[in-house]
Amino acid sequence: MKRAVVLAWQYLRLAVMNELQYRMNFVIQLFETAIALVTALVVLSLVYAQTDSLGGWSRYELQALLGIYTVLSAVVRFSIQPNIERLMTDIQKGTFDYVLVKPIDAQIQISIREVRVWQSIDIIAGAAILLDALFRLGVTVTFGQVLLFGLTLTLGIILIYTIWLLMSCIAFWVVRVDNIFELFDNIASAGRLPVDIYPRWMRVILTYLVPMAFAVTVPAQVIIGRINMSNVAIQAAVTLGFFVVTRFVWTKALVRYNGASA
Amino acid sequence: MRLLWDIYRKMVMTSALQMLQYRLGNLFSLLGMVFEPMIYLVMWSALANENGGSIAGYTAGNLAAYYIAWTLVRQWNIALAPFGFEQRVREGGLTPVLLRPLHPFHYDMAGFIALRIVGTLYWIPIGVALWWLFSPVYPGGWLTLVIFAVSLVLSFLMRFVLVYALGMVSFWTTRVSAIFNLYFAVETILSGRLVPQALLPEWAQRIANVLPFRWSFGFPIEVIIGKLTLPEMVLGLGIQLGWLAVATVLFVVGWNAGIKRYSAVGA
Repeated sequence: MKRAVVLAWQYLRLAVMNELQYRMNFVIQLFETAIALVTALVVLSLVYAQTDSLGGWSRYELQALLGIYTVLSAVVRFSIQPNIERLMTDIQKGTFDYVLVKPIDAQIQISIREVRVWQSIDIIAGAAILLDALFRLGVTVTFGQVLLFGLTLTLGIILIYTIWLLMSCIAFWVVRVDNIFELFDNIASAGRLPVDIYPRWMRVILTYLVPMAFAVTVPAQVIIGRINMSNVAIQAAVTLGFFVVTRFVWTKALVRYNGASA
Repeated sequence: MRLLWDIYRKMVMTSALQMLQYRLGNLFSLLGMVFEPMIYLVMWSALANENGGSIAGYTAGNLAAYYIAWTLVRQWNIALAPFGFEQRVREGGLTPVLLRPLHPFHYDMAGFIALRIVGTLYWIPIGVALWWLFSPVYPGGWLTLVIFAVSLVLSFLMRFVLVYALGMVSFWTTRVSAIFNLYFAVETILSGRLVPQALLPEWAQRIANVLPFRWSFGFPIEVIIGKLTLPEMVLGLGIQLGWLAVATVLFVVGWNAGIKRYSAVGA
């Protein structure tokens, strides 16, 4: 485990050093983040120009949720997505061989190899929206709340990671899976709204099948002080379930892999 | 002209058959596309309900009709992303296409017409399912349907040429993602994709009216859900034609100036 951490750190360091050569990319990412944020905030103000509460969520409560959504989807683009994409190419080209011959657990390796450094800007921007919302709401956040928030957010990240990995395991059986990711990405964007405002059949999908919305809603409820312990419990259970299933499928998938040009 | 027609017919056929090979993949990407409007629909319906049943003249049934029509219009709106064109310029992929007997535009156009046909076929069952799930309210009527069909085709043509013209920027700079993303962000808000035109503030509606985005997206939807009078519909069709002409001029000018700068990078 210690080796894994050291290795992850080295990969991160290399990625940062590499990206610092292209500083123009920083400016471009900054501009794109700004566009995305402005769009999201415009929508928010459009909605709340018509009402003060959407499904029981006030404007700044929803902004807090949006901040968490921004952070989580930026984490996906920062680390999860690039790693999975690299895994896909490796499987298609047979270069996955190089992972297998290295002395560290293959799942750990393929999860830490890639980092998209500039996406960290989006993580910061999301955090800023969240803080701004909390400030405007004027809520007092207790230490326990912060802990629970950290826990649910981490669970959410693990959950999303396991689902991405689970989907990519399909590539060991059928090689073309990009459409599945596209579908997942679209469903994940449902996370911009709290999961409780969706109709029942959508809520089931968004909680148990593609739980991005759920992963966003639970920490949001915690931080704005509407803690719903049964949701926290469901999230922990779903995360654990997905984690175990993914690990199982992954070991099956490794056996299935038959190497370069085979 | 006759030759062009024959070539188009053959190319559309071939591409359509090619696309039909990936049945499951097509279904997945279409399902994904359907999910986005469902989010908006849920959001605005929740608002309409809290507002006593309707919002800016839209009842829950109107909104359902709006976003179900949305899924079809979106299907027809897909164009060659300027990112794709930028890649061709950057990596030199344009070079072999230039050697073909027809202008590269025609090959892309034929491919996207095929996509329309395949996409509409796949859309039908999904449209039925959505109808059953969300019970939309349509006024119906043959005239509305005909005008809708015409405006749908025009929206495809004008957006396709416009976005293609935007791709011409790649001849001058390959750092284009920021420009394109800005364009699409403005389009998302002002086209009616995110929110029906009537729900925008007054001043934003005025801006939306003079920009092309609304005419390639929101307009056909408003036609089919019966939000427009006959003169408004006819005027809208005229504006669509106008934008198609403007887009064509932009494209031709951009192409002629840009192709001289093209140096087959990386080839």
